[in-house]
Amino acid sequence: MLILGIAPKWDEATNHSYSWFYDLYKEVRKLGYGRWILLLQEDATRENTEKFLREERIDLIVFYDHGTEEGLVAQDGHEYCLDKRNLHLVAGKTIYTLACLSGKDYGVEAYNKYDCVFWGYEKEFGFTVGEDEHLFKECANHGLIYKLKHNSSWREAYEKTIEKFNEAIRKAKSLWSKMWLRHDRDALVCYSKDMPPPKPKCPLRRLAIRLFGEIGRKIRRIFVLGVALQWLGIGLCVHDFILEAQKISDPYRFPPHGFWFGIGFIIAGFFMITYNYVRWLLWRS
Amino acid sequence: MDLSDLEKAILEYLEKQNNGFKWVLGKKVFTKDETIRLFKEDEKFRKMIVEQAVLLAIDLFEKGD
Repeated sequence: MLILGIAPKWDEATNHSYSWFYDLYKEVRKLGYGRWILLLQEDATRENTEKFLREERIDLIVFYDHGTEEGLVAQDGHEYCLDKRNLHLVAGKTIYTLACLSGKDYGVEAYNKYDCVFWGYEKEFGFTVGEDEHLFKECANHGLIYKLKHNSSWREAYEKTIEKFNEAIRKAKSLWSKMWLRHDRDALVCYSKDMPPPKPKCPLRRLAIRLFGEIGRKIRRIFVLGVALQWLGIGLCVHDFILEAQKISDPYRFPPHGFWFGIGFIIAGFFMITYNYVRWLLWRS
Repeated sequence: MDLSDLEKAILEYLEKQNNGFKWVLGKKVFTKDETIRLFKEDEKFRKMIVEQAVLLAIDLFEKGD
C-alpha cells in the first residue's frame, strides 16, 4: 500500500495538526503498513500533490491541515492541494483527513462521483490546547490506526472511533474539552460502500438513485442536460418538418424556424455529452 | 447585555480558567481573554457556545455518565 501523507504547517492550528500527523505516521509505521510519500510543510503544495498522484499508484491519502467545503488547503493557505478540479486524480482512492468542513461537500462529491472512500469532518474541527489535547489527537488518528491494525471495514473503524470519542468525553478533564469532543464526534463522517452519504435533497437526483441505484449518484448534470437538449432539439425539428410538410408555415418569418433552434439544441447537447464522455475516459485512464 | 442563567454560568466558567486557556476552532485560535470578549460582545459566537453547551448536556444525560 502506498500512502501519500500531506501535512502543511503555516499557522498555530497547523502546528498542532502537523504534530498529530507525525504521531499518526509513526503509529502506522510501527504497525508495518505501507510505504509513505511525505509532502510536509513547504512541499505540501497542489503542484506536488498532483505530481505524485499522476506518477505513483497511491492507495491512501492522509491529509492533516485546514479544509473548506471546496477542498483541502495547501501550505500557506493560498490554494488547495485537493479540490473538485482535481478530483479525477483521486478517483478510487481513500482520503483520510482532519480537514474541517471537507466532509460537507467535497467528500460527498469524492464518494458520489469518483468512488473514493472519504473520512473527514462536515463541520469545523475544534480542540483545546493543554492537558486534554492528546484526547483530540487520539480520536482524530484512531480511525486509520484501527482500520489498519484490525483490517476492519470502514464502518467498523467509524463505529470504534465514535466509541473512542465517547471514552474521551468521559476522560476529558475540562468541560470545554468535553464540549468540543462531542462536537467533533458528531461532525465526523465516513463515506464508503457500506456507509454512503445521506440521499441528496435534489428531487431529480433522488429519482435517479431510485431508478438506477448507486449509479444514480454518479450521473452528471451536464449529461442529463445534454440528453434533454438533444430530445428538445429533435422535437423542434420534427414539429417544424410537419409544419413545412403541411405548407402552413412561412419560410421567411422572424424569428427563424424552430428547425434551426432544434439543430442548435442538438449540437449543444452533442457537445455536452461528448465533454462528459471525455471526462469519463480521463477518469477511467 | 442581558444574559440567561446558562450564559452567566458559562461566562463564570471562562473567567475561572487560568491564563493559559486556549482552544482552536477551524483556523481560529482563541485565548481566554478573546473568548470572554467574544462571548460578551458577539451574539453569534455566544449562541454558538451556548448551543454546544446544551448539546453536551443532552449528550451526558442521554449517556447517563
